[in-house]
Amino acid sequence: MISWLKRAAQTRTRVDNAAAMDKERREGLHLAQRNLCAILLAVQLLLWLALYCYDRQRQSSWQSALLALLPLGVLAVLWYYAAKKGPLAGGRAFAGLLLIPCLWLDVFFCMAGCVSLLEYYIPSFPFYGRLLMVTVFPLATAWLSRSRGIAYGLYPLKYFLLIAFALSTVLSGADVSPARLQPLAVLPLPAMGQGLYAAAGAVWPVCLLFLLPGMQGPEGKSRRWIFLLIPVALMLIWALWMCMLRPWQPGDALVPAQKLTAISQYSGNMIMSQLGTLLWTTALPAAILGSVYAACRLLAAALPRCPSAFFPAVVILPAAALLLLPAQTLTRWMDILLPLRWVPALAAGLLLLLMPGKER
Amino acid sequence: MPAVFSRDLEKNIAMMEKRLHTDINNDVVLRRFEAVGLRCALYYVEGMSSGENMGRHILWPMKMSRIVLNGKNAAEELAQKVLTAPEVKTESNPDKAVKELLFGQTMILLEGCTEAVMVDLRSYSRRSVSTPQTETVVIGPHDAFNETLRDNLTLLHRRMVTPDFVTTIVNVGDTAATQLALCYVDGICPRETVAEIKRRLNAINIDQVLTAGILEQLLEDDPYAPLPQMAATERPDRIVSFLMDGQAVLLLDGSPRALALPVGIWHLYHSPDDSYMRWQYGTVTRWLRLAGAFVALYLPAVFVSLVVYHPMTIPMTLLTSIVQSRTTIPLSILGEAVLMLLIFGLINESAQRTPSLMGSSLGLVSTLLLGSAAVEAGLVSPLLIIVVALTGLGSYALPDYSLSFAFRIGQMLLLVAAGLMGWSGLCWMSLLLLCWVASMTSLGYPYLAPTSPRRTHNPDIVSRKPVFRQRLRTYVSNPARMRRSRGKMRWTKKGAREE
Repeated sequence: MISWLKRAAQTRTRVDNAAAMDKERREGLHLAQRNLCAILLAVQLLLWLALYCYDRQRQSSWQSALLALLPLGVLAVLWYYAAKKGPLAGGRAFAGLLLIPCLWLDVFFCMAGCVSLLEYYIPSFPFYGRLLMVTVFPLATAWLSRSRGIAYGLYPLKYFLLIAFALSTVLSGADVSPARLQPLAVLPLPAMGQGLYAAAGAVWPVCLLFLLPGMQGPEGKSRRWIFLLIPVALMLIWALWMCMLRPWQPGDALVPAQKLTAISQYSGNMIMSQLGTLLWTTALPAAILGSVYAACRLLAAALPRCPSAFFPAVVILPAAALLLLPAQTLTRWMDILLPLRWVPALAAGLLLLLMPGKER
Repeated sequence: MPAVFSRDLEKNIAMMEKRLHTDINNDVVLRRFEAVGLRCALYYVEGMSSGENMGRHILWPMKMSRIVLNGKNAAEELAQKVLTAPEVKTESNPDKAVKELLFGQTMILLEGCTEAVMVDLRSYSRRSVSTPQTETVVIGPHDAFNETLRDNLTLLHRRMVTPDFVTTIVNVGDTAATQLALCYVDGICPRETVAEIKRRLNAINIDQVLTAGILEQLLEDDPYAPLPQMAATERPDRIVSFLMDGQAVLLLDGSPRALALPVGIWHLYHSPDDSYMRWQYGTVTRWLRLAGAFVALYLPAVFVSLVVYHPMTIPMTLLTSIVQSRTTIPLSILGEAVLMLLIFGLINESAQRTPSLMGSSLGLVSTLLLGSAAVEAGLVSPLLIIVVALTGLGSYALPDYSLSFAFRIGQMLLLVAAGLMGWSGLCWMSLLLLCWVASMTSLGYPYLAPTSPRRTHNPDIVSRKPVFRQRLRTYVSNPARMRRSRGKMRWTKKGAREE
């Protein structure tokens, strides 16, 4: 065993010529992109669980999380075959543009989360200051970091996010009990349908895992499914912990920031409780930046002659403009729009499947 | 039309008088004499050439020679048959000859000859090789570069005993040229790296390049990026390690610091001591340094954020103490922290400019400013002094001076963001800086590699494995020569080297 470990510790390399080094460079980018897609998917799933699924279904978020696997699986299989048909280039790149509205809504959803956290912790901070912050920071980051900086910058963040997730759920020390879990059969059929419908919107970023330009090559395929499984695992853990935490009362009127940090807030340790906040204050901006990166790549593939400096603004400004709408109008429309994100994702996948492409 | 030497010595002397302003310039010396059957003119810059050597290797052999030179090849024959200096060459271009003369060579013009004879007898006052001023180590060599290019190259040659070590000398600067040496190990350093450096050097269009710092600004990938994109060092041993890892090195005459490129952030984070110690100690030192870097960057921001926006996280006894200590302080905690960091920066800056004799006075003033006097005056709270002191310690732990400067700027940005927007501001600013740094390149190589993007690399990043496990060079080396060694790198119990 010791000798095996010693051998494993020996440095080996496949890189012994220029072609192998080029291949490694491409792999590095693909790995960073896959990581970014995993962050996007995980954040959307957790946001959906924390903000929409939980208080509607009360103690049923784990059933909803299980049901979410259904639309997620459908989209993953569809996009797997769509990506197999060929890379996102030429006419096929325009099909990717169908996903831009989904990215707008994603960015808006995350921006709303950021604003809510800021409002909760710093009530004195003016509304327009909050709005300015969630608009200026991603714009400045996207412009300063040019094309690949976001993907490479978010790659080392994965360890931090995973540790913060573990510390704010499994290791939070919150009062949880498996006795509080309801069996799947207890859930009424309409509630299951509602859960399925709501989940469909949150699972759409799975298609980015197969779609982002350059990820259809042989290097892009390796370990792709692991990056799909990790967000799913995080969602299931989050859902289980929320259900085991304590029975929520139907009359609980919680602001979004409280819903996001629900698990860690019921931890006895104050430092642990702040880690829940830290998780979201990092994950939400990371997801916004990830969406901006994905949108920039899709736009650049479809519109190669347009100056890429405009692309971040194309994604961020419409999402920021949505935040200006009155809260009640927003809530009403978001309930309808957010689940509908699966429609363009499905349509783009089908379109790519039907469009001719170079089979690999 | 390019200038040429005439066969008429007087015309050549007149041309030199015009170019070198010898009528008003007292430093360029002209000596006329007759030898080897010809009228000759000897030019040198006062103080740049050795008078003793000039007599021994030029004047004495020429005067004593019975050879009579004549015709076009007189310069070549003089160089080959008469002069005894080890480095002699002929130059037909007057511009180049003048440049060589100004670099310290001695020039001989001969009657009837269209070439000048350049003799290298350079000898000028120089600082001796001394200990490093900014990169001291506990273990390891204690010699450092000085301001003389030749001495610095000698320091490298003493360590790089390989025929593959290549040094190319070029001049940079149009009006006042400076000699620059581009060094690399042929085969280990990729050809693309050398070609790119040469391309960038050729593109320099400036009157003078005085120091390596100016050269760095002219060559780097992104002049607006927050972190240095080249490693500037005064340690020859560090430069040798860079060379063996496939990087190229630039040495500028007149500058005691060499530039290594391309580099990533981890190159700047490493200190030579890490490798000279046993791997366990080196690894622990690096982890300590990493902790110091995080403290330098984040401690003031986290402190302000916690006290102002998330006080419930702080234990009650500590919070009470903080609140009590702040009752008499007129400034907000953000203002207080900014003020303290500015004072700290001011002390740091003045310490560098203060003559050593006045060092004790500065220490006294610093103690008063950052110590009990500031607390007693009700300007700052005692806890903040501890925070600022720890921050200072953390930034001093960084081995690269430019990197620690960049960290101080980042620290201030994070502090302001955290002071205005709490955790949210801190996270947003961290992500902005992280993505910005991740987008940086050094000579086209990603700055955060090999961690992000992932690259094959020697196991010598944050932790350091034993030397015999460090089988690879860095990701910037030529992929064909990525392996340092094949087979076992250390003795085995069987007593034989095994493949």
